[in-house]
Amino acid sequence: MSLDATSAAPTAGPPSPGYRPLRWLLPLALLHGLIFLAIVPPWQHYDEPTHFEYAWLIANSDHLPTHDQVNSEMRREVADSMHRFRFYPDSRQPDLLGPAGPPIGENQRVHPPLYYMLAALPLRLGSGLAVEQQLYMARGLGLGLYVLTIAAAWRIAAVVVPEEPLIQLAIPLLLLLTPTYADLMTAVNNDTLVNFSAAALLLGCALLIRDGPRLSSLALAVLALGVAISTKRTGVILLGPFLLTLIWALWRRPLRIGAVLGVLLGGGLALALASLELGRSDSGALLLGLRPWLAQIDRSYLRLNLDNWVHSVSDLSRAGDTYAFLLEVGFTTFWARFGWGSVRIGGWAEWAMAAICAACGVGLLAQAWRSRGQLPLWQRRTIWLFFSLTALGVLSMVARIHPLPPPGGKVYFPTGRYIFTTMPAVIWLTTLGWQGLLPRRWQPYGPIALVAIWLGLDLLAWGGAITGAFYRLP
Amino acid sequence: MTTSMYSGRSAPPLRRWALALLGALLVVAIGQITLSEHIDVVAITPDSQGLTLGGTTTIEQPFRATLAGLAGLTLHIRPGGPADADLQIPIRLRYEGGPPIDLVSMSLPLSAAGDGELRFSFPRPIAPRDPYALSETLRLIIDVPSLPPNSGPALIVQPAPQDRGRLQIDGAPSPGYNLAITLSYQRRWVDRLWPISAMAAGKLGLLGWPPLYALLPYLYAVLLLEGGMALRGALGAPVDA
Repeated sequence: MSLDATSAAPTAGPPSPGYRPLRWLLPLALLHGLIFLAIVPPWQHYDEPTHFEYAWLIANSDHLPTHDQVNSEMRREVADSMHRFRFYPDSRQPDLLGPAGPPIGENQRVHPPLYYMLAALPLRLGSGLAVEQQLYMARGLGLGLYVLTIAAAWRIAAVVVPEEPLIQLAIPLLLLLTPTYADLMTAVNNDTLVNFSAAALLLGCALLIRDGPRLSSLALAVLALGVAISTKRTGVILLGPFLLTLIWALWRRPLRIGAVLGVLLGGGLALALASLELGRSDSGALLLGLRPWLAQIDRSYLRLNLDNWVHSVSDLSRAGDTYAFLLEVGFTTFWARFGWGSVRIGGWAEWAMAAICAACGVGLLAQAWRSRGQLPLWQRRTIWLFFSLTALGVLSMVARIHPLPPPGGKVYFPTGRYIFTTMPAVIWLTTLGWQGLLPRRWQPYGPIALVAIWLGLDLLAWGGAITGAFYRLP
Repeated sequence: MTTSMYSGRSAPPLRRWALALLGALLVVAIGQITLSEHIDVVAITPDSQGLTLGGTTTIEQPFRATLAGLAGLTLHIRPGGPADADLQIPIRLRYEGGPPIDLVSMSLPLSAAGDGELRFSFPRPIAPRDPYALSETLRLIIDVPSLPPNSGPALIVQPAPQDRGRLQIDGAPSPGYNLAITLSYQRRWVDRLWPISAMAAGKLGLLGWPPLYALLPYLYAVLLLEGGMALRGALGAPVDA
């Protein structure tokens, strides 16, 4: 990739990129999403029955449901449908006659209601239909958000690399063709709204970095961030790139490394002083604790058990195996496993993606070396923005496994979907790294080759793994 | 500096879209094609024997339908005397181990048997109970009309190896035999390539329409082609206008 070093006039901005690619890109995204929506059997996404339950309860009452509210009739219908569509193992049948209705999964009413209120809108129209039809109507919201996310990815590319028409098309195509992403985005799941908000935020940030503080870009970024955080706590990691963008949008000259380090250290210290306080344990030893305001946020929203978390993170005795397994689970479910994490494209696909990502990491370094001093400041900052979001995503995965249970206890390993907010940024870094691997004369063909690999992965995912996993063929 | 270099290509001509639409109609049409397939559950061999119906009340035979879309069943029969021509042979089908509900209940006169085959065609193909399972074990029940013992037509039965037959006569197992049955299936041709019937099984409305699952990938491929052409156009686009 050769970003144009001459396009260093961020205040002027490039001329209109032309929206013609959206004529085929949006229908393509719609069809791709429809394929996933249609062929993935009912209830076969992460926690789909209980996400659906949350939205259904909103659609069928005049108030937000309480945490323990149950509609036993609805649960019976869902459990019966789950049984008919082979959700349960052969030996297990749900108890449809129990007074409270059968359990259908983990209660999702710990999440803010924003996404579910939106998902309830189509359900209100479809009340009275069969429960599977209502499920597909709710999946339709995710489908719409998926299409908008692809549109946002294209627009980001048009903003960041106005001189690279091939990459402008390759970036949204790669995002579109990532099977794990398409699968989740066509589910009934609040991740869909967070992921769309993340893409919209990245667009707002890219515009702010390129053009400086403009009201429309700022409004887009603030709105997207607000929606993301109001939807799910995984959206909190988007605060980092947003704050970084604000600084870059306001301070449009190169920053001295000493000043950056000073701000980081000073900011870190200020944050620590504002959020932590010294306390004493039962044995009288000094320890760090949360200030009441942070403890309150932790209890009511973050639910990270931060006090124990600090102790757990500093315990390095169990770090090796735990982090290695986290890497395996997180990586494979990010790229090559979906459904409930049980559908595998193939072990070879996981190794292939690992090789591609490792190679692209090397390529990124090569690209950074090759294009040092050539890129305009705003383009460099945009790449750093993608990098910072990706890094925060990885750190959030590490943060999520803490506090670790006592030795012998079961550790909860989060799947890659929790950081699908970073997917557009990861696609960017992968593409840049891929281009960095290639000699300059091959670089024009690099994005096409990458799209071809993704297409193969995608076709294998829905053509092979899905049918193999969900359908009993003779 | 330029931006929309690749977007200078004219809009897709009407002819291309008309072709794509024609292709879509073709895909739907192909998705509707069903073929008949006849499979012997128990084939007739030289050592086949006849089970005379006279004096029997019911004959039951569980069998496995190995494909979806069971649309008919043939009993192999040896007619009795000319007086039996008007005799009605009633059959019923149920899911083995399922609720006591008849999936099929019909009868044919013996005179309908040609070449010793009495072919029953069901009003609707029988889908497996499990939407994703393409095979199903069913139970055939023949309510034999009242006839004097050892008289009337005879159904062809086949000796079962190692007495593992599943035939039941008047409720009593006859492990030495199986009834000779040929099953007829109506299968969508596309199912051989891509299991559209299984994908649609158990769903209502548009999502329960099998050709949809052939149409979506087709339309996707058409637009993918469009995307490929756009990529090719972008490859050759000038960097600066």
